[in-house]
Amino acid sequence: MKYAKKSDILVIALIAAAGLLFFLLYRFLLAEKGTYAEIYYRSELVKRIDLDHVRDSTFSIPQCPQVVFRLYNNGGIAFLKSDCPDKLCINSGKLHLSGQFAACLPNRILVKIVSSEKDEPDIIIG
Amino acid sequence: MKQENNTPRAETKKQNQIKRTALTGLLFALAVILSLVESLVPVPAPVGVRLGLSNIVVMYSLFFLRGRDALIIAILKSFFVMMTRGTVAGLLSLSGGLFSLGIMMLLLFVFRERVSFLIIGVSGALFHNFGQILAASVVLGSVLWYYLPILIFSGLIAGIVTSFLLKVSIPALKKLQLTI
Repeated sequence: MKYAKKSDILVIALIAAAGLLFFLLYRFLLAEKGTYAEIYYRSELVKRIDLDHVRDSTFSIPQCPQVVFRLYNNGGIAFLKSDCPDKLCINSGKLHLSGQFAACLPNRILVKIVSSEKDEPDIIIG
Repeated sequence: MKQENNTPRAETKKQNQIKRTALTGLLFALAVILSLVESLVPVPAPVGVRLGLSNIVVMYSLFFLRGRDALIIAILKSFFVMMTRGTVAGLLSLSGGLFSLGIMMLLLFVFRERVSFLIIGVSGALFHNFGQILAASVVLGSVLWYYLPILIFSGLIAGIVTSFLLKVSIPALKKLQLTI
């Protein structure tokens, strides 16, 4: 068995093209500023925040007080504190564009930014 | 001790069995060490993108042992992750590992010698990501489509790196005469 063949380049180029396509779709949809931040706990929507009318502040949801969120004046939300081991949720940083999300899997929390018009799925791919 | 069948053939078979068990244990230890080392190296990406170095071990077992041994290593590794990093992480690891091994075995079964290390590595890494995003979507109850481009590119890079690392380590591993 060989390490690589010439035809592999084609396969890899196709995969990269698919990735690029999804990225462009994603970027394109991201271009609009999100209006609401939705916080899901165990798959249930527990809080919906109007990002146009927020001031710098922190809060947590009653279901999971060990996770603290931060709100930004100009309409953004981020995970500030969490008791999870990997801190991926905090590393995801500030979310403000429609479609962005951050999740804390150990605490089963998902934060999703949605735009005002749509309550339906934002995008269905494949 | 029960009386063994001492014909030379049975002896060899039993020896091979012992060797295989020991080797699977060794490879499992190696997989755990690799993922541990990897978790110590910080990744600049904001999301949980990793190279998946332990996939090298799974690929090695797939090529030089049997599919069954690779499966055992993948499942054991998920249990290790479950014990050290929690149920959710373990579930993600298991889903990723099974998807990854599934596609690699399928490709090897269909194309046999015609498929290259590179393609096996890349598809293994890609499906590891798909398996993980699938499990994450189930846990969160929301399909994480937005993650897809990141996962495709990270899988592509991870697959190229891991298959290359396997390729360069094969001569060294052969010297150890680990294969059965």
